[in-house]
Amino acid sequence: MHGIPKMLAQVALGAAAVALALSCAGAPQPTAQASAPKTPVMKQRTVTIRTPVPVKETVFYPDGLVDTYVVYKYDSSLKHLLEKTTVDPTRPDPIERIVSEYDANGVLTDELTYGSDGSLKTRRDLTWTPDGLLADEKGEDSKGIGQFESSYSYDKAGNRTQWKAFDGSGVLKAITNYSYDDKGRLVLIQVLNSANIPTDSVKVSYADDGSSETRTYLASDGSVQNIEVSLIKDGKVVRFEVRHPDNSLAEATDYTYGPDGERLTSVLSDSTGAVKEKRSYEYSIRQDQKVETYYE
Amino acid sequence: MKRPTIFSILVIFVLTVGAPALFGDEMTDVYRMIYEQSTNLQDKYNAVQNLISLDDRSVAPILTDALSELIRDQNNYKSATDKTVYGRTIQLVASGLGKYKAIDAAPFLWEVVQQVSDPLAQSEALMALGSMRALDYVERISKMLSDLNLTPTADPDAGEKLAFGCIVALDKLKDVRGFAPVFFASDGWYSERIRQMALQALPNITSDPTDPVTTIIKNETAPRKSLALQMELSSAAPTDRKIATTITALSIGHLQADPNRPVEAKNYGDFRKIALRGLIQLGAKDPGAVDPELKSYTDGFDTEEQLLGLQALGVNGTDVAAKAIVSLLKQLNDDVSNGLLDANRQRMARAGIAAAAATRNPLVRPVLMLIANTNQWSDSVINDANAALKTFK
Repeated sequence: MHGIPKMLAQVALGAAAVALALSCAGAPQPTAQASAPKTPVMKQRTVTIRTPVPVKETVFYPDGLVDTYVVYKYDSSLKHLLEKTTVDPTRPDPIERIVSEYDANGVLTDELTYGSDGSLKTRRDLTWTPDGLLADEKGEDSKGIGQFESSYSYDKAGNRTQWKAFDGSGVLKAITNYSYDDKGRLVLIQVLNSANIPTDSVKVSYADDGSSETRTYLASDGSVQNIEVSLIKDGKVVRFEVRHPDNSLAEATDYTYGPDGERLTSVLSDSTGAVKEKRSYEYSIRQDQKVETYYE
Repeated sequence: MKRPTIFSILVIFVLTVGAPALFGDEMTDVYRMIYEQSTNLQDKYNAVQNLISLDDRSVAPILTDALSELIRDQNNYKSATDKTVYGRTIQLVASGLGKYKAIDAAPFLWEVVQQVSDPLAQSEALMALGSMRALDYVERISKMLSDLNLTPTADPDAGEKLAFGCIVALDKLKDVRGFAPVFFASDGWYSERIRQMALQALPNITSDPTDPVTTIIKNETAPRKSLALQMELSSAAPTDRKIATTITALSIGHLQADPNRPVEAKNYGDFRKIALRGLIQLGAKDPGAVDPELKSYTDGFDTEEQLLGLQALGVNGTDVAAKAIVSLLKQLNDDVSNGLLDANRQRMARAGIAAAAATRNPLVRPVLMLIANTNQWSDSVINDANAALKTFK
């Protein structure tokens, strides 16, 4: 998971979940019926799924001046990200460019990161499970020398259960185990060092009404390092708080969303509420047609 | 590889455009742990690279600690390979700290600027200070760029990299103290790329560059005065400050010009023309502008300056300006009455009449009537005078 803003994933997931059924082209016309009880009839209709695809993210200083912006470039179907370019308007060249490469089946295989001088800095090779889950990633420098490797395991439900981190020579450096409750919710992340000794851990808890998720970061001795609280409304994180071990607020980020569930803005504030940074997001809408079966 | 359509599209999209929030933060922990366990620089570099690529702002304190440690252990890295990796690691850490605006790291970044010999790392540290708007360092970065501007460094490429970092930082810091050094960088010994960058940064540094521009206008060469004045005129400074600066510029442009040195005389002429155009564009009606405007008419470097002087007097429109126009038109009329009509006097008379009309000041009416009734003038001048008179009815 490198070079990737976390929030955009939520946008993509949220948008797909929202999947609006708008048009009903091809739906049969109603016909006159007798008064006898109806037997449900299977029918089909075409629905349009709107998916917001992020095309630009702009980072502002509190006074409204632009700090940096990121431009996302896609193929014509808006399904495959081709390039992510980070620009600082005060500099003549982009700060960074990440180019994605796909195989003939449209599967992401590599990400190449170029620096501000235009030269290749790193390459990340990805392999996938048959179910489309990330199985392994390898980082190499511009000369092809390994920098790191990660491998991932999953349970039958597709939940990640383990992440093994290796150095560039393939030496195991850390193991991270993920545990879930019977509802399939992540409840514990346990990090172990290369000697298999538990180090840090993260406890995840949820409000009964689904209005918040709390992550408590614990050191190896069990002491609280910090706390993160996500406040959730309509399935979306509307505020993300970072708290000190004594539960006092360190900083908070507030989010707003558009009609298709896409994140529109985020505002980062310090503990006093003073704004530290603002972000805005722009999207293109991808419209996919899908035939849906229903009964009438 | 099997690809379930909708699911795979979503997965690819998610993994391409955004990592699940679920797995972001323990990764920070893991890579921090790997960094701390790393015994050689290359491993530290790899861990830092992974930390930065997580796009997680909680890495900032880890990077701050890493930078502090790297500075402290600098002398341990003596081989050429180590020095290269060391510079790259510092560069990477600095860029991350700038990205997350980790202001607590500012003192360490300044230590990098002062103590680390790798110019790319120094430059990145400077830019990071700019990104986090570390205003406590404006003075020091400005001084650094001023020193760099003076003369090419022993290694010009290294000097350029540092200048690049200073300019980007001062552009981001948006403090008026950064204006002068960036201004001089735009005219410095650097490559065209750096000079252009400096020039483009100038309008961003401050919306009101009046104070540094006035200093430049008083003390620098005519071409630099011209550039500074153009910056002032195109800035968002309040109009009254722009006018005051431009009047000062025009006055100095007359005072400091040496007519015996042709190149300088031309440069000062160009400078005064910029000032005159500025006063016209600003609609300057300050009586203090009349003397230098009139001097541009009487002692201008060329006809263009003389005509601009007249136009500026017309825009000025004050009684002082009107009286100056009356006086010069009377002089022209006397000359023509004495048989001295020539193309230049005719051109000046027509411009003077236009300026008189532009004043909308009734003080100019008598001299317009005088010209209209002086038969020695060409028909076009007399027609202009009559047309100008009609504007007063």
